Amino acid sequence: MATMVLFVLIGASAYFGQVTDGLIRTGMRDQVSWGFYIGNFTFLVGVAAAAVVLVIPAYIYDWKPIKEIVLIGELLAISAIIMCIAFVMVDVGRPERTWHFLLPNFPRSLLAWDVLVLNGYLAINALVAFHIMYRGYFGKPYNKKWVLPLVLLSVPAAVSIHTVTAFLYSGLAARSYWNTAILAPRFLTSAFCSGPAIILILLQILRRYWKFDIKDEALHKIAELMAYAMFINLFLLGAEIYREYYSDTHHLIHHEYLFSGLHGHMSPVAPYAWASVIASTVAFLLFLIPKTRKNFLTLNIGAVLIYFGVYVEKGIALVIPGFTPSMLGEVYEYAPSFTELQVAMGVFGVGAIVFTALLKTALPVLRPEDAVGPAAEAAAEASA
Amino acid sequence: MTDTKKSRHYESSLPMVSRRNFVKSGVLGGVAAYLAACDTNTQEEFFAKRFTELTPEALKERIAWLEKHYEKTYGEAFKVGTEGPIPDVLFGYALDLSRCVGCRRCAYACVSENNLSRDPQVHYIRVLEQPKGTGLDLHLANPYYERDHVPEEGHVYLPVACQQCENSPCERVCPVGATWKEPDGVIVVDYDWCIGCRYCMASCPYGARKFNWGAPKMTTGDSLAVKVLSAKPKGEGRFEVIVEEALDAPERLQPPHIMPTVVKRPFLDAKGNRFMTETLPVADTNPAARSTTRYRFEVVAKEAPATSSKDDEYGYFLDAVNPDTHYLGNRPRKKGVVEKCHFCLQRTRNGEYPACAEICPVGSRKFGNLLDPDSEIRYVLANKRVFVLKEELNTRPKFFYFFGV
Amino acid sequence: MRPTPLALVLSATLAFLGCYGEGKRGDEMPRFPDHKEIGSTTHSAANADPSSADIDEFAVQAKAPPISEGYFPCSDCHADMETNRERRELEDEHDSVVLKHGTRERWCFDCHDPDNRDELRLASGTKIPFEKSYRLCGQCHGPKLRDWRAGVHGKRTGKWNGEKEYLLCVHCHNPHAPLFAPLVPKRRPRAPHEITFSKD
Repeated sequence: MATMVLFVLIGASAYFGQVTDGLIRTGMRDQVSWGFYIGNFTFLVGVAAAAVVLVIPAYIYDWKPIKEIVLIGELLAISAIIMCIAFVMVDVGRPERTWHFLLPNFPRSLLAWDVLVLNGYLAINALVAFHIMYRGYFGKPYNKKWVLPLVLLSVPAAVSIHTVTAFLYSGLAARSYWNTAILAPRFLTSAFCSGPAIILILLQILRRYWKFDIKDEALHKIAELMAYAMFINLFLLGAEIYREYYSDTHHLIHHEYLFSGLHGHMSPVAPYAWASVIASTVAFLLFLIPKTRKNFLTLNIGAVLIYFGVYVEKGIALVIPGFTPSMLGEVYEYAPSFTELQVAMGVFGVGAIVFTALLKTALPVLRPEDAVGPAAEAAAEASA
Repeated sequence: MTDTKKSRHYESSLPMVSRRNFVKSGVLGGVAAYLAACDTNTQEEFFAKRFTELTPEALKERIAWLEKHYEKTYGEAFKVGTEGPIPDVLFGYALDLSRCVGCRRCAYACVSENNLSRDPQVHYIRVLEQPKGTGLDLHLANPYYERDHVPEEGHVYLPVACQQCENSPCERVCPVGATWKEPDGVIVVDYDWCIGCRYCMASCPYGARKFNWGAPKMTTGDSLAVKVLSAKPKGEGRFEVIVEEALDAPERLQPPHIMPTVVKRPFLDAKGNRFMTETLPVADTNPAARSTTRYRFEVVAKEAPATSSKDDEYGYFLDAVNPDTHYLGNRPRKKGVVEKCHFCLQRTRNGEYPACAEICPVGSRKFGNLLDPDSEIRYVLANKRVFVLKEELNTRPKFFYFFGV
Repeated sequence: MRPTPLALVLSATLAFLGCYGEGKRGDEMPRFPDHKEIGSTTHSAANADPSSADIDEFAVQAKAPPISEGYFPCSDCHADMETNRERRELEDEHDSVVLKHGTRERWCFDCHDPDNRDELRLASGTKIPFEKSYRLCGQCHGPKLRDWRAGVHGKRTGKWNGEKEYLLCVHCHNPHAPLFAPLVPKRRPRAPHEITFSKD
């Protein structure tokens, strides 16, 4: 926790410098006008959307082992959305004017949509989670009449946040790298890998250190779902790569920059791109084969690989090649500046603190023997 | 984190609601503190309305406030115009690729006229050098060419700025409606409304939109170092000064002398036309002589600025702020907002040609009203081989490239 | 399952988005002329006979003809000089004139009037003042004259919607050697990695 507070302080001081001097403190320039911040934002939207991987089996198929942990997914979604909003905030040039979003260019601007659906999704998850936590505090079960419609609504809402985020990119005819119909499906499938990868590892940590009762089969089910999602994700990536390389038009130049480089020298993103594809493929195989899926060592290796693979794919490998070469053919080798890395650290710190705080608040629900206040009294009365 | 003592849980689990409030009040307090720390301009703009929604009275107030603020900041009287579009006018621009020699005078004329930041450098116009025979493969274009003389054998030049699209992606994607198309066809930015998200920069197929990464500075002498050729007293402490701009100005002058207060802008010729430069001496085949830009203007000063005759003695740089501005045009911007070419609104809405068109030494830039069948621009469309950049994107630019020969 | 409010809102918005065209100011926008109009444009300058009406009917000359200081009127010297029509190396006053303009075919008196040096002379023998030298140039360069008259060849200043100013051909082209001399370009813009933070 102290580490996280330190992260936030470092981030805050870096952000203060950025506000004072301007975004010139970052590595972004006119040629590459979005970078590390927006890459992280995009990735985290996927993490947030991934809560539905738990919601669907839990509430729609009423599968008990996952039902017990779905709340954790919702709390993760809340933290991820808060980080998303923070990443957009640190990226804008005039943060004090973000209230202008209240008078949006709606419905024409996808960014106006994005603000709407992100906040909507945050509201849904917050309502559900706080309702469950509030009732749990008094030792009562949650109110189905309230929760179920909201939870069901969170499924299309999760799809919508990532679809809108993908549309935000794919609607730009100027950027051929993003201007593809399968960007939204790719976003969704990769999101259903990255978010659950975090959840998998989190659940094991909670099980070990916080003595949560989490069943193995729940973890394996999540991994299985991830395998399907990763297959579709890799298949779509392959379809994209085939189209670009076989038709060999001017648009190929962005993929060339991503996987090899231009003008005879390797681009700095190429190693990451290859590592990402390889990591995702290996993880897919690990999660596909039941034996390695059920072995916790290989399961965790797979989760880490997937996290890495998708983090690169939705960050570096999405944003940078979209801008490189620029609209006038210029190659600017963008790399995040020290300021950007520090600010991002701070944002992740905030996310971690929010998540931890939420988790501790939710303890009475997640671990009934830990109940405090009225719930504990009620339990004591019942046992007496 | 791993501490599971009950009392701790009790503490950390109960006050969640108040914690949220704490966070919320923290955010609000942060905004308040941020605003308190900012200059008055930021505070004023925080509550500013979008230009299109200002009532006439509110607009008057806003303009008065701005003019005072700019005068305080830059030390000379500013005019912030709000001239509206002229009825039955749709601006169009055409550029003759068979003439452009890539001398970049347009780019720098634009910098002076439109108060672009010299540091960090902002240019609306980017001149691309292309090897001949490559069509328009922009991936072979080079905006950073350095030549002793232009045009370079075997190359063509393609200046690119905002294309003022009829179907403009930037306007479509702006989340807060801070950029829109005026009835005369110019896409403008409300610098007080832009939040700096840069979505428009991602959407623009022409790389035309520029961001103020840092606080714009206009008086660094970059490209505006001048030497004084003559200074004639005009009475009442005024002097008519003719200066010659350095071809390749030093980054900073040591020590920097700012020109005394300019009362009439540079770019005034004898008839009061702005921005008539001393056009190329034709009979002179010495390239250097044909490449200088001279300005004539009046200054108020205690004594005449020192004249210089040496070739490389650029003892002054112009206080490069142009106080003749337009709200949606060249009024000073600040860091964190997007800007771009706006067809010199402050000039063109008053009937003048854009600065780049006036400075072009080879006359390759044509400007006019697309709705007037007798305008230069319509002549080009009717009689020349015209194309637009990236037409497959259906942006329908009002900036045309043509071959005059 | 009942449709949720959000779903209703979404579908309604999508339908709205589908028929949502230009911005709210769309109705006042002037219409861009279509190809038919542009193709059949009757531009007065385009159809003008290059040798007919003078340009000063609709534009004003921005500057006097660029004659070297102290030379005009030419008759000051030439009035009592013999006219020598012979092709030769020029000496004395005009040694700076190097003819790079159809050198083999052309000589001074194709353009300068041998009897009155203060005027120019068309092929027909018609005499014209230096201010109208474009008519002389237009004898050979018809299409250029036509474009120039329309303000498309060369530099057009003044007002785009009012009084136009024109420069003569000879303001930009040395009539004896019309090809442009090369120019020194202005400094290249800074590349993105060269744009860094600096305290002022």
